[in-house]
Amino acid sequence: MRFLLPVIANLLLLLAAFGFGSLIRPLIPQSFSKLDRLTIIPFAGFGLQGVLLFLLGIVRFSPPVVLVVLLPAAVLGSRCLLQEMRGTAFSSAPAGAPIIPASVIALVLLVTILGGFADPIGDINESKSDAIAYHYLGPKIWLREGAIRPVLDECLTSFPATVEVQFAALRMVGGQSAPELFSVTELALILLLAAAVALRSGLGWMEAWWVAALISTMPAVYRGLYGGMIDVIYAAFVILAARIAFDSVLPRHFALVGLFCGFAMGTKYTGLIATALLLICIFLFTPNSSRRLSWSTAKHLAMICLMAALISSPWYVRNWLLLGCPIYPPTPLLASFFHVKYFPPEAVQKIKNEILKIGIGMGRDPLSLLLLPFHLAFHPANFENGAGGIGLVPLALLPFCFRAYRWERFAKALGLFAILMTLAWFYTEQESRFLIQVYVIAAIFGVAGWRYVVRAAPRFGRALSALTVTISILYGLFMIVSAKAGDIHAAFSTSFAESRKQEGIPYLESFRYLNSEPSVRKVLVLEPFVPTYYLDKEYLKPIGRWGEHSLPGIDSPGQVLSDPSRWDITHVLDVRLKDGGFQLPEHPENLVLVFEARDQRIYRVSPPGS
Amino acid sequence: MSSEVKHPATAPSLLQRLWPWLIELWIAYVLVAFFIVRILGSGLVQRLLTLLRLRLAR
Repeated sequence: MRFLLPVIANLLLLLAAFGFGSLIRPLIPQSFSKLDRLTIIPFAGFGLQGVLLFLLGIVRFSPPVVLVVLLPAAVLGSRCLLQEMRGTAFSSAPAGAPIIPASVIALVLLVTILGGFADPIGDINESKSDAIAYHYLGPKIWLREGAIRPVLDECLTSFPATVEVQFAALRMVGGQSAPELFSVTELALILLLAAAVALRSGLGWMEAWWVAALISTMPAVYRGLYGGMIDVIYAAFVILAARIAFDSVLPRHFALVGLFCGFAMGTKYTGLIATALLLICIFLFTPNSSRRLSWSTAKHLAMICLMAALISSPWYVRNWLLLGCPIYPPTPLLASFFHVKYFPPEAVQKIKNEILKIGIGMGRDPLSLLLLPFHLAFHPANFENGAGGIGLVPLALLPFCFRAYRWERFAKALGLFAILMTLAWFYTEQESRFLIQVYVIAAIFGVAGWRYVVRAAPRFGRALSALTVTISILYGLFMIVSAKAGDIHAAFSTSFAESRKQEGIPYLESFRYLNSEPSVRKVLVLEPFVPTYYLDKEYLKPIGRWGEHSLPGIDSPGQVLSDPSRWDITHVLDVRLKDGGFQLPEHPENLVLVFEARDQRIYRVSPPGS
Repeated sequence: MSSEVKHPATAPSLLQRLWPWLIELWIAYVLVAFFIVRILGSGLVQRLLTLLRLRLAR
């Protein structure tokens, strides 16, 4: 059951995504290939499913609600999948897969499947694990509370959460490792998408296989699909929006573009920037537009904006109504316009400083921009979450793609979109995983460059480019396998999993006590950096790790302790961080020490007279 | 005076002749740079080199 339930949960979610995706089939342009359709349908399904679960979850988020959404959709999805696979699905594909790229992809998929069964482990101190801090915390609490609400002590749970809502559904059906196994679906679908875009960009089937193999072994791309990361699915939404946009003719095609822009905006705030940049590219590359805004172009752009706003608005309106600002946590500029709740000005500044610190990369001056391709290839670890990088193909071979084939409108528009996104990323937050959509496009153009090199430099070009691809793949594989080795070991060895928990989960003994002790109903957590993801009971954390004030009028945990019965607190968790002390004195009033371990103490609330 | 028709030069230009070499040089440069920066500069190799240096110094 430990392995079966996560698999069932993921299959159910995937089939349901096909079910919801089947609803948008009339919007897909007729000219699109079967492969295009097989990528558009499930991704659109994941987007629609996320929005629907969120809208229902605002009112009620319980197992019956989730199953009522997923089960009929899965039935519809099975039918859709059979229809789409029927007949000449891959008629233009040569028989059999090329052995080397297919083996590479199979190996990465195998590693992802095996590692996907491990329980999530990590700490939230120094932002070590975003999954534990908020990607998985929100879903766990939504399921416990039976409604989707921002967790007020962790402001990042108020991010648009099209994917996290589905993590909650996975967790409900398949347990806590099911969301981790979702990385397999993400990987398979992004590779299919990359192959489809490669074919549309003028490459052949063999080259599309190599594109997929190169992307599967880019550690910087891989980092965006496991450990609760949602960047690969976001990148897929953005790429699909562009893919459809540059071949759109009819208003319904542009409506589909708007849907994917909306999904991107409902997954990450950066989707707002990507949508704006895509609109620029659509305007510049509209056929016969003569670079002038014609009425029909304006109508198409308006259609995209309308659909995107419609799809993503639930998240932004919810934030505005509940938290005081559509984008939450707000930027300092937004904080000056909106009355932001639960988030004091110091916290706004703190989070801004942290983003600036994380996103500095290797500098923002013109020279750094010029050297960016070299930095991404040779110093990828200097960009947050970029360790391992993207291989050598983009730097070594992409420059020659400009002579690889006659550049038609689609490739030009895709290239410009990638350049604009890179510039936006460079001047905002240089975190590697935020650029995954560009890495995918770079791999496609890199393989186009490879094709040209083989032709234009017949003497050593073939051997040198083969060496470049081989090194990129082997190095990427080494980095990916070593990053996932612990997860794979933990999935199949209970003793190793236990020792990993002992090492990786801070205050594990306290969590075990609190989760197993029946008298514990509600816990007051004093220290902001305690990872409450591991706590199965209801809790109260008055001050969050960014300085959130989750209880209006309460500026310190001590104020809660002055009247614990008002908050129904039964126990208090006090811990000692490195170089710090406990927050409570040795014998606090009205509290009885019931558990103590290294750097951790648990008190039972014992009001006077009890 | 006989009128001579001048044909455009059909011989490849210098850049055309050098172009394959430039391509190969560029890829070779990327490979060598990768080897120096990412392999020789990696923590593992640096530790090995330090060990070797200590051993030789003894």
